[in-house]
Amino acid sequence: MNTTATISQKHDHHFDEQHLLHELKHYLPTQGPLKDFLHHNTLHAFQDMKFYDAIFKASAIFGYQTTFSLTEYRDLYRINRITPEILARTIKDRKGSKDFEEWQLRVLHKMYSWTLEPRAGKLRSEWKRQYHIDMDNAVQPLLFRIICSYIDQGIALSPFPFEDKGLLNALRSLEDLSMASFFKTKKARDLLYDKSCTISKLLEILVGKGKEAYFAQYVYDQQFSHQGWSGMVSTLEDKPESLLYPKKISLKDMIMLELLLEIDMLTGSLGEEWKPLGSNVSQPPVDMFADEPDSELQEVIKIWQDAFEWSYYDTALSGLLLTLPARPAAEDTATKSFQSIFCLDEREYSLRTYLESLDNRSETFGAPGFFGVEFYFRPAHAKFYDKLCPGPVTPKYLIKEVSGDDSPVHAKEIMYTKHSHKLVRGFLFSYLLGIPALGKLVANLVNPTMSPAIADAFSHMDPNADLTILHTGEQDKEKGLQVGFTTAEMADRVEKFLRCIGMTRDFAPLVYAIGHGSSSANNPHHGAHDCGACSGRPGLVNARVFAWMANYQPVRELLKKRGLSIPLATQFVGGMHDTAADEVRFYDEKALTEENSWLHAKNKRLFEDALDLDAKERSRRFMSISTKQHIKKIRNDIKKRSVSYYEPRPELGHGTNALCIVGKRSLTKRLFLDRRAFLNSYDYTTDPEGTLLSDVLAPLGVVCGGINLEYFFSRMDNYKLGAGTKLPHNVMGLVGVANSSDGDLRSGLPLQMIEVHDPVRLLMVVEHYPEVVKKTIRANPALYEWFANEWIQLVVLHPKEKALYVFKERKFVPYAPLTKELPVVHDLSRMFETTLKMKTNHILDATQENLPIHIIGPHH
Amino acid sequence: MVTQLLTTLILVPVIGLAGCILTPKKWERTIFFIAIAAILLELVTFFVLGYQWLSAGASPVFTSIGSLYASPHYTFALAFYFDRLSAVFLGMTTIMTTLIFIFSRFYMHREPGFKRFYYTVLLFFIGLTLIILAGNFEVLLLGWEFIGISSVLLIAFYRDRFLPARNALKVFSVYRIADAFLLVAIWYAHHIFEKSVNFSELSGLVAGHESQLALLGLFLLVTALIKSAQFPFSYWLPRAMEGPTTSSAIFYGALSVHMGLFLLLRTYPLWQGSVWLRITIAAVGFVTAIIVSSITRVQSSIKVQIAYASVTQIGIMFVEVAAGLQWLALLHFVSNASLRTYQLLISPSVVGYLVHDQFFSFVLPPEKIKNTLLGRLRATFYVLSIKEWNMNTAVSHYVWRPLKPVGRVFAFLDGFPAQVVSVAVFLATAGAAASMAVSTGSKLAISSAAAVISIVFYIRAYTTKNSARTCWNLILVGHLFGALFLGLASAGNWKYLVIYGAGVATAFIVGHACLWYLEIKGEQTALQDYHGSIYAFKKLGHLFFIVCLLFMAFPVSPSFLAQDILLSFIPVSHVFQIVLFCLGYLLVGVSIMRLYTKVFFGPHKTSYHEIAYRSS
Repeated sequence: MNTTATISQKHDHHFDEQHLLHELKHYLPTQGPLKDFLHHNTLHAFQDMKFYDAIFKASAIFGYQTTFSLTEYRDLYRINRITPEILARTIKDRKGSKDFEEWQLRVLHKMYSWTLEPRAGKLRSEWKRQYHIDMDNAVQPLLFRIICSYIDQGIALSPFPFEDKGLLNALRSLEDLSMASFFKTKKARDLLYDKSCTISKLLEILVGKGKEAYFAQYVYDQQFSHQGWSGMVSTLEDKPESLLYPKKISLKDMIMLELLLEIDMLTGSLGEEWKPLGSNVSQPPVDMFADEPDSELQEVIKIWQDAFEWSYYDTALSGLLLTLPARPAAEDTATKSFQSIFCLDEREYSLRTYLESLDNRSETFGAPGFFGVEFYFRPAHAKFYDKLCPGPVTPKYLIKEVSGDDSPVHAKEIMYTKHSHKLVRGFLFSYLLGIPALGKLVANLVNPTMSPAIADAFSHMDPNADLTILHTGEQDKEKGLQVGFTTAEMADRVEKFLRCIGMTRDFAPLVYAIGHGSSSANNPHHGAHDCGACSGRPGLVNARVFAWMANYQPVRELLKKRGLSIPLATQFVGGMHDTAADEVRFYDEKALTEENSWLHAKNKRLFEDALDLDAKERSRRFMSISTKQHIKKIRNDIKKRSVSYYEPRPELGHGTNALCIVGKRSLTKRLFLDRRAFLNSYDYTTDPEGTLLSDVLAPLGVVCGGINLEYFFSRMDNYKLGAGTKLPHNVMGLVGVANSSDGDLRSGLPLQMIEVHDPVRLLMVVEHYPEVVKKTIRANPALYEWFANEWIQLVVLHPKEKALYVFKERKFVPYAPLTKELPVVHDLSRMFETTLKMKTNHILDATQENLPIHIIGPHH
Repeated sequence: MVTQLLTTLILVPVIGLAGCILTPKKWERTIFFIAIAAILLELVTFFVLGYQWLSAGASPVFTSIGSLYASPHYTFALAFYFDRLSAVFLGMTTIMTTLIFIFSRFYMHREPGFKRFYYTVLLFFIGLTLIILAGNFEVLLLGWEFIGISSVLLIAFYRDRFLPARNALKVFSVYRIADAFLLVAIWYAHHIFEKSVNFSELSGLVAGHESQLALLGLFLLVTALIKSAQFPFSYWLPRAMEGPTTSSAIFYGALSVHMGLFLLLRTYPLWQGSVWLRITIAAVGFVTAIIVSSITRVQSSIKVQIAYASVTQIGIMFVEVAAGLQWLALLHFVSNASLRTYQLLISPSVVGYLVHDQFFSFVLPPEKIKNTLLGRLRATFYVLSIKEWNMNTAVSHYVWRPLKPVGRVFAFLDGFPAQVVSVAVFLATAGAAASMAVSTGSKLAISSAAAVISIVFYIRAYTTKNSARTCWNLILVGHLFGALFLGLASAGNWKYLVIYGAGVATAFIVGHACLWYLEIKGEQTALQDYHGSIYAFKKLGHLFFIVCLLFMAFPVSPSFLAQDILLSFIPVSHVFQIVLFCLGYLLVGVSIMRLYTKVFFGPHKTSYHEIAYRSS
């Protein structure tokens, strides 16, 4: 007994550098360089805990604001965004009927003191108390500048010398040659050269020998005072391939450098003799990750947030039930005019609605926008590969673009020339470029057009170039990747994809596979608007590749053998929807038969009309565009918006996302969901055992859950978990943005992307039998965690009972919506002309821009 | 006619400013409409004026539309001057501001500070217009101060974060040094020529004053080099780029940063005769161009890179001006300002553009630094450039840090007894000076002592970490001794002392009440950190800002006018007193702005809302 106690005590005070680094990396932000923006749960480190426990704990440790304030919830109640019925039910659900009144009083009226004293930062505040030294202010600017210059991907004219050696080695080499030093004192320089130096040794100097109990806490305080840069370094250490210009850097090196700079600063201003922080510390060591005790306030907040979410969910679920056909409709056997498969992205929702309503014989499907084909892509003449599939997947295939042109043609923007920053050439350029610059500015204000300085989603592939989709034999390899797919590999992918979305018969003559991307100007976060299922890139190559595979005769023959027969006359066409400009372009149209060409020409006009309507729907949220003007004018304005330097909101991204519906399109066809629902097509009748369901659901947690929670947390705390307003952003080293010349990197989403967002967790509705869904999610622990820990809410729509079951405490329990009727809309376009635009982006105003769920009635 | 047009040029933005301020902040459209109407009217007026001026032969026009104060001894004339220099600068300023106004309508949409942005930019614009059209040094100083104040508001536009608040104070402080030098220059010019100098008559005045003009030119050069971010003051420019990209682009990328160049061009006739001065100006420009271009080369953040690239070119413009190539410098200004504005405006796009470019044409940089003399030099330059040649630390080390030990010595002044005793000493001395006949020699001694005491109080106010009200008291006592000094040094013009005192006293009382109210409401006011009270007390914050301007004797406030007039009574031989006065002027401004930014700006540390990281 005694021995164990001693050992565990010893263990407590033992400082394990490796363990600390490992843990730090777990908690630091994992957002990589901006060029590939992968949405993820901002609090991923806490995902093994229940949602509420996790957010309160994260808040207690790091000071994040993870919910609204009590006043804001009460205001939301006052404006009826949180409804009394739902609030009452939530209180009863959480607290039982017995104490209902008491809890209602607490929720509605009791005043609580809301103090937030994050654990991170406490220890290092001692520097100010003991020495009147503002350590962060004194050390961070130089630290950030060195790190940023080291990582820099190509802004500086002179790269960091010796950057291939690792940060500390590069600094040593540089200091060797230089007659000036980054350090003021010999003490710090000597420590830099001492290769046996470790983090613990430096901490002994700074915090004190024998004060190991404080070591880890000190480093946490330090690294979380600038979690942007630390997170970037940690991510780059783990994924060096995310940089084009390779840099060798580790979190350990960064911490060492920071500790050295701190020692240097202290020695420089206090002289050789100063006592370490620990010798005079006034507070006991803090266990960073101790559990946060429950409090009454937390219970109240849980009730409010639940009520906020369910006030919306309830109307959506009610809508699903209200619009269910009374009896299974006679199978719709009428021949389809054409079918289109879109990304499940909620921004495609409205376009799909319009396509279906303009031609009621057409049909749309939704699925993750990489179309089940995972590969790396190398554009002609490119020196690198683009990964085109969801983030966690590592493809084994490469598809190359083969262009007839000999030399790379990509337009240059003269205004970006670095020569203008040099001394002599800058002298010439500053004379020559001034007036043209003024001209360009006026031109972009008067008539914005696409230019090389603007991210063009369509430019990721040359529509006239060939793609090496077919694998030609054993030797056809590049850097360990197989070039193209074999027939069997193609057939596997096409089959699985089509079966998952339930598209196994009734093929129309034309089937469109439409990826999506987003063009925007002056937007470092443009990657966040592209396809999440394609690692934050436009999905046009995947769409084109998928269509090619599905058209390839040997694939068709194989599919036929496997019982999936696609008529000879059916042709697949790849395309892409630019969600900012509202434009669709199609690929390989020349391969169409004469008859299909004719049909295609007709469909294209239909697409154009649908895009007009889509633009009109989107315009209701844009101040600069009047929804009442002529529809073609709206469309044109929307297009201009995507190429305007002055427009910080080219589109609103995934803002407002709230639902994910896995089932047949008929479930939502009569509902107006205001572009808030991810729609993944799935037909339970073709998959009674749920074998496909597991493949369908697997990516949805990471992709949709990741998007949803990133928006959730960026909305709740745009300062610490989001990137703040875009307007002062300064691009750092091409990897991130900071507010100022001396500021920390800002990870997360900028204000302009989240202001329309109502922070509700994703509600996933699956049309299937509860026991099948339960079995499926249980079989995949990573997926199960999302639901079991309540990071995503799961509801099953029982196809036979026509009833809802909500997944609660790991069980499906029946759910009866309180909402009994919903408003009906007959003419969507007319409705948008009268909806209000938000007055301010405060949640009380912003949430009112989001329209309630409507039932779409017959058009008069 | 020209007079009316020039008056219009001044009045239109002032009316626009008033209109914007009076409009409720949610009325984005109205605010934009008023601002754009004002600036377009300004543009039209400018073109009409330009046309008339050109058709009249393009000869310089001088006009005075009245005076703020006139006496046989001293006149503060509202004089304006329009020549080709004004034409180029005003044309550029108005066109750029028009474009930025249109750009910002969409860019700033729904930003919580939409209204604040428009009226601050208008305020800035008024400052620039005053400088550009100034017909004498007094009006120029007026514009100069407007720029200083609106800079604080623009840099600290995102006032709920730490870095904008700190950098606003940083830039204001260095601007204040420039202002103090300008004040010395004005006083000196006044004494050289024994009158307030009109810019129309500069060339005619030169003869006979060559030796003094070199010194005057030197004062002007220091003012200009600080305002144009020349070495060793270049560090402030990137740190001023804290506000929205649009305002950073026109002011710090283009217009404001070229005002030093404007000052040199405007005063060209005064210093052109001094070869040594011309060599000095060229040297400043040359050294800046070399050093700052080396800093530019290593910058890995886009806005900072563009800022330093702009400064490099301004360095070259200094050389051009020194060489007498005025037209070339003007062309260079127009072109550089346009280019840098555009580069800054499209700087966020650089991620997409350069990464795309790299995707197709990346090659690893081939050269590695070798252990040769050249290699060692390159390594040295690299390290120095990353550290911005220590400019930032050096200025704070040599200019501001020395005040700290001095302040610490006088820490006892924070105590109430010390302040009461000081006021008693003041009253006794003032009473004695007023009632008794004092010899000139002792007057000089007493007034100088009073000036020193007032400076001590200002220094203590600048360094105190105690409550804002303590600091406010210290500044008041500083003012009292400052008044005593001015009263004695200017041979007792009591009338002006009363005006000065009344202005300061009003500001003191209202300011004290504001701070007291804040304390009652539970806000922190200790000056050891930034408290961000404006988050919860917006109106009070705005009121207190105006009070601060009054308290620091901001131009157009009665105290300023009184100070300025009293100053003109100080004879030229008492250079020492002028230096003391300017030091006091510098310190009182910086102390008050420090107090303001620390109390009202920065993260507001209550926990019912999100708080920004200190590092952001």
